[in-house]
Amino acid sequence: MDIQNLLPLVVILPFTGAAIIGLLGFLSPNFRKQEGLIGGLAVAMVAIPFVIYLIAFLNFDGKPLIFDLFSWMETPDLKIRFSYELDELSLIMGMIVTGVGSLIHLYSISYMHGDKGYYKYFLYLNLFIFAMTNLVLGDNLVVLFLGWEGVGACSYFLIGFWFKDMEKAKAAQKAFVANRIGDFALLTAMFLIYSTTGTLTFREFLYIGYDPVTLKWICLLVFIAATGKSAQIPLYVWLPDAMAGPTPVSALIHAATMVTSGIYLIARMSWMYYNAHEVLAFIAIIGALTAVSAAMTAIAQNDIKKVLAYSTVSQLGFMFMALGAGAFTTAIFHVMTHAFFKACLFLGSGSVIHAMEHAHAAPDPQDIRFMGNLKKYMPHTSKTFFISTLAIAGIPPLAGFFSKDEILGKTFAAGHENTIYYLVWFIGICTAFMTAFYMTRLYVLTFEGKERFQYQRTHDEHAHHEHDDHHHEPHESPAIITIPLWILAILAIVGGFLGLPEIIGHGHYNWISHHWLGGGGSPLVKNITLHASFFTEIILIVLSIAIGVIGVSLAWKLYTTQGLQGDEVVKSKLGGFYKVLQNKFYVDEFYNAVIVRPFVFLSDRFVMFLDKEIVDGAVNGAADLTDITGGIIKKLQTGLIQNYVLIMVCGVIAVIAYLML
Amino acid sequence: MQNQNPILISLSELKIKKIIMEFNSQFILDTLPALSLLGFGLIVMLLDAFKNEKITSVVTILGILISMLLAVPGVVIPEEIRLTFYNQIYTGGLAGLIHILLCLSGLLSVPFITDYLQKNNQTHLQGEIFSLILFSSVGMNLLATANDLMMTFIGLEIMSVSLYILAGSFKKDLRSNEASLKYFLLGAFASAFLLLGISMVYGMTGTTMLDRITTIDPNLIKDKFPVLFYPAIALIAIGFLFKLSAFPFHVWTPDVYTGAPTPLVGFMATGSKMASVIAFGFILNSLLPQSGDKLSQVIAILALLSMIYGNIVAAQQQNIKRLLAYSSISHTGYMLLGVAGGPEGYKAAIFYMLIYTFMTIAAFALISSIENKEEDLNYQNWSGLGVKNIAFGLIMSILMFSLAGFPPFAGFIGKYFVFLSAVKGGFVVHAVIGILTSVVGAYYYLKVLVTMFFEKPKDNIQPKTLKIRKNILIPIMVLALIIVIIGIIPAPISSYLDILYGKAGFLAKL
Amino acid sequence: MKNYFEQYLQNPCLNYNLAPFSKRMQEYYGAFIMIAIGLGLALILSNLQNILIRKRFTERKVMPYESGMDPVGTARDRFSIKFYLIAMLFILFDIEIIFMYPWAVQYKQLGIFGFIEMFSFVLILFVGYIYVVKKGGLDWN
Repeated sequence: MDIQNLLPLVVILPFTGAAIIGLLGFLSPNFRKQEGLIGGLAVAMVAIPFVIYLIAFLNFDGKPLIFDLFSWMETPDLKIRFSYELDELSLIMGMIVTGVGSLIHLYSISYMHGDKGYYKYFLYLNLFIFAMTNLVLGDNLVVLFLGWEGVGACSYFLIGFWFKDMEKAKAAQKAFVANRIGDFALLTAMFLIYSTTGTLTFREFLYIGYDPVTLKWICLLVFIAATGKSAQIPLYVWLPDAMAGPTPVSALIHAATMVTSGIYLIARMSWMYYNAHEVLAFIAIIGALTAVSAAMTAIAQNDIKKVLAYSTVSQLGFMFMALGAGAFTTAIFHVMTHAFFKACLFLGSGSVIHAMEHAHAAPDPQDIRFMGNLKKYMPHTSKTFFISTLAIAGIPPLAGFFSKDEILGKTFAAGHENTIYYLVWFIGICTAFMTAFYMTRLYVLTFEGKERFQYQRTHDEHAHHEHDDHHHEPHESPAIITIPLWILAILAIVGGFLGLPEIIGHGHYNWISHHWLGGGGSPLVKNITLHASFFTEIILIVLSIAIGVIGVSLAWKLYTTQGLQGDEVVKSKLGGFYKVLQNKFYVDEFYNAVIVRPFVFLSDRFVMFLDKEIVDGAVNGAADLTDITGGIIKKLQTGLIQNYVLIMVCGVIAVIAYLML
Repeated sequence: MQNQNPILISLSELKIKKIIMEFNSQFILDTLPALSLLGFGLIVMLLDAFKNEKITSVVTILGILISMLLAVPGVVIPEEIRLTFYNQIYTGGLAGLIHILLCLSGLLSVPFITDYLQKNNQTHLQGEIFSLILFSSVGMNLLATANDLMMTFIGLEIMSVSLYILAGSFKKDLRSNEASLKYFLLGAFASAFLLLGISMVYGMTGTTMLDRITTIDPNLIKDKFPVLFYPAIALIAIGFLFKLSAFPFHVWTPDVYTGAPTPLVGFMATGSKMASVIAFGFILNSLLPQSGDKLSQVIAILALLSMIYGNIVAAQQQNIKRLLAYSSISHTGYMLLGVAGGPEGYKAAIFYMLIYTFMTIAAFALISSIENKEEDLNYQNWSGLGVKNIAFGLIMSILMFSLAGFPPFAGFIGKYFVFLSAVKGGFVVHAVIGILTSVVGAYYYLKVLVTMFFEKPKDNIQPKTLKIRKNILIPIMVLALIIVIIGIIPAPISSYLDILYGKAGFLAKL
Repeated sequence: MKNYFEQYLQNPCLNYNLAPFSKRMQEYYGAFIMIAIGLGLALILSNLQNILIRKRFTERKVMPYESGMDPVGTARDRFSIKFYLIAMLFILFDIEIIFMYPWAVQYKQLGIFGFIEMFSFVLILFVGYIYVVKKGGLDWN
């Protein structure tokens, strides 16, 4: 069967899954209880597209596969079709989305077991995959924007999934508002592109000449959009709060896929960015600042998911550093490796949280201060977590080492042209060290050392069997959870070999940058100028290995010997700055004071004068009708009508005056 | 013999012959859509007089459907638009589509009104209300398809007077009375401006026929009558801006929308606005020298002010009807931005209006379904309602998301077209600010949803009847479905509008 | 049709400022004379009675004329709404009769067409009349 005919399925299937689950779940309460059916359907609707991607990938011959579903709107000078394009970039993104996505779907079957909103969860999850497919496959900005908004909406629903908790509902709202600011920038960029070129299809507007000012603005606006979705300064605040959602959602949406869509978008438009050097430098700086500040914050966090969230922000900063250095292929490489180990870490944390919740052992099941020595109870989880921790810390030969090293190398090489990149590189090195440190801290505090939780040991084995909700020790999760963990862990081990460093065979064995994304027909710019000399390259690699190893061993030593007291050591070294870190640089407070409150104040005042005094008088009067005699009403009305007429006459005079003068 | 009195004998032999010649079967066929509405209005009146109110709703729906069907042939096989009724009104093609769209807002409101009257024990009002809806539909049709400025005015008045009465149709309800009187006084005030503007146009061009005026180069008129030109158009514009409730002329809107019976507000807010926007765009485009003209700028500025004012003030409202009233001011702003953006934008405005009709009627109908007393309208009292009553919550979410302009709902498509045409018309800054205000809009629409879904239910203050009756639940669900479908696949409708638009000869000049 | 606007612009009314001022003023002579006569007549007639009539005041005579009603009393006196209703209905139907005049004058030329038009007009009026009667608009009690 021709692959071309199968392609539409990758878009249609997730949507069908969402539609079936949503409709049946809404209509029939019986269906809602069929957890196996719902979960199986949802997994199939993501796994089948993955297989199709795989077939397309294996048969890919360098020519983009284009297919379209139907016309969306047609006007004489604007035709927008639901049309999709599979090229090197979208194929790799699609494989990440559906591959990691189906593993997380599988994991969720067990994780969400018994939840009241089970069917809704899978409805949103499938809908998310559908939206994400639109985002990475759409061949024009409108379809991409639909996907962009769609993933935002799904993320909003899923963050607020347990909306009974007001805190979580607020987190959802925060995510929404931050994303809206980014959306606004993207829309403006779309208008700008459309008004200069008259088209919104990528292959039509990417490769033509722009005047430098327009180009700069477009690139800047798209970057602002990316900072919203991909959680960069100044819009990153929503991502740590977004951890309020179910943990698999954090793994899928807020670590592996959705948050990388900003990077995808910039990479997709790399031909435009390539000509806007100032914007690229700006992106690199923002990325570096985000990376370092998030890494610093992560050192002082005690919530297992918060640490991972800040680490995600930090890793996204790394990807933006790569983009900023013009190494677009490297950024996508890091997107891929990061998807593997970060998904594994999040799913592992979910497994831990589940165990802790089950044991009723700690006041807060997510607080690492109440964990420790969990490897005794959860061998699989702890092993996969350990592998991924080493991967993110950049220990060779795990995946994170290769991609992170490549980013640092490219950034350093870019310093030849603009010395600012040396600074970016230096910040990157520092961040890499901190990453190794806090990730090891997280692992050690969770799985090693002494047990710092207490659970009621069940002396009576009999009671144990009868009362399942009896407090008992934390235990390993079922296979349906550990299998995805192991798959992701293995990917985190081998994933890096897709991008071997430059020193091995002059990059000829760097499959991802050299052969796939850097190939002739690839939509990405392959920045060939970014080469350091062989000797520099060696030094850089040694340096980054050293940094990783030092970070890991330092933290290992500190926290295995001292346990929680290790934090005190860090605190004494950092002094007052530690408090700033604990409070996340006071960014939330700052935004509250500078943006939220003035806005509320302004809109209050505005209403005080315009509405309360002039308009509301009538309503309030009318609302208290029982007390007010007809005469007063009459008086009120005439008075106000005069006001109304006065306003209208002023309007008339203003309009005519404007026209005549 | 009879030609002696020059005042009484204004019609020459020739003209009379022409009149009689035109009076044939085609003439009757062309005028039948409007006439049948009128006829059914009279029938409903008689039914009311002979105490048969119960069947009036059925007869009304039947009447509107028949009237729509009469216009369908010219629309399905896209035909050229043409003049009829002694060059007074347009018919066929686009005019037929406009007729259908206008009838739609009446048709959609009928079931909701019936239900609302039953709930409030006011069924004896059915006859009056439905006949007035039919009459005002006639007015809307005349207004929107008029070729003669006098016909425009007559149409506007037929529509408005019916609406004034409709606003006050709950005679024992003081707020309803208040709404009616305010609407009437301010409406009469605005009509005076319109009439003055029309007379000035007549003074400048010697005719009130728009097809004649379009043949004149507006720059020529502007050169000949430099002082009169802009005030004339401005005054006409003001007459319409009042009906559309654009910024400084919006003052009546909150009071009238709050006071009038809820499902009737849905009708008032949609049909009259659509008719006005169509007539306004047509008149404006036939009188203005070019699309980037000074007056377009004024309209764009007023559009902007409407968006800003409407959205910001709406964000502070607790009464849902008042909130929607202010948000309707902002929606007027979006439409006006389209009208200012030239012919392409005019089309976008019509499309926006169509979508707005679906959203607004459904929204007011949904609100009326749970409204029993004054406090039910305060959405702060709706906490947890979305979870308790899933159908209500779901449809409300669709409507709110659509009103806020999120994809994949119809509201997004409408906004998108309007902003696109505004950008093409040179109003880039306006479009940008417009999008910004729609962000503010998103804030208060979502606030309603947040209250409904995320807050703990407080039983003591919640609306009593949560169950939506089947006979209105189904129409509302259909409307919500239409909103979603248009949002996902707008191409069929928009391209259809395009075809008919292209066939409309008089618009080709625009 | 193309020259329509040019033709219209030839209209002497629009080009009056091309003529000399004295010529333009000629058009207003009639109006001036009318105003003068009107003012004069009003002044003469209103003062004539003071000169001619022998004054004898009675209570009734001094009273302002108010359709035979007592003009002095509270201003907030309430009238029956029927009073206004009947008056409005009267005006409504009375004014519609005006449309009959031009039709009557042109009756022969308009023929069957005019008849149909007028018939439908009267029909609408008649429906309104039935409505009024049935709704009790004309009942005094």
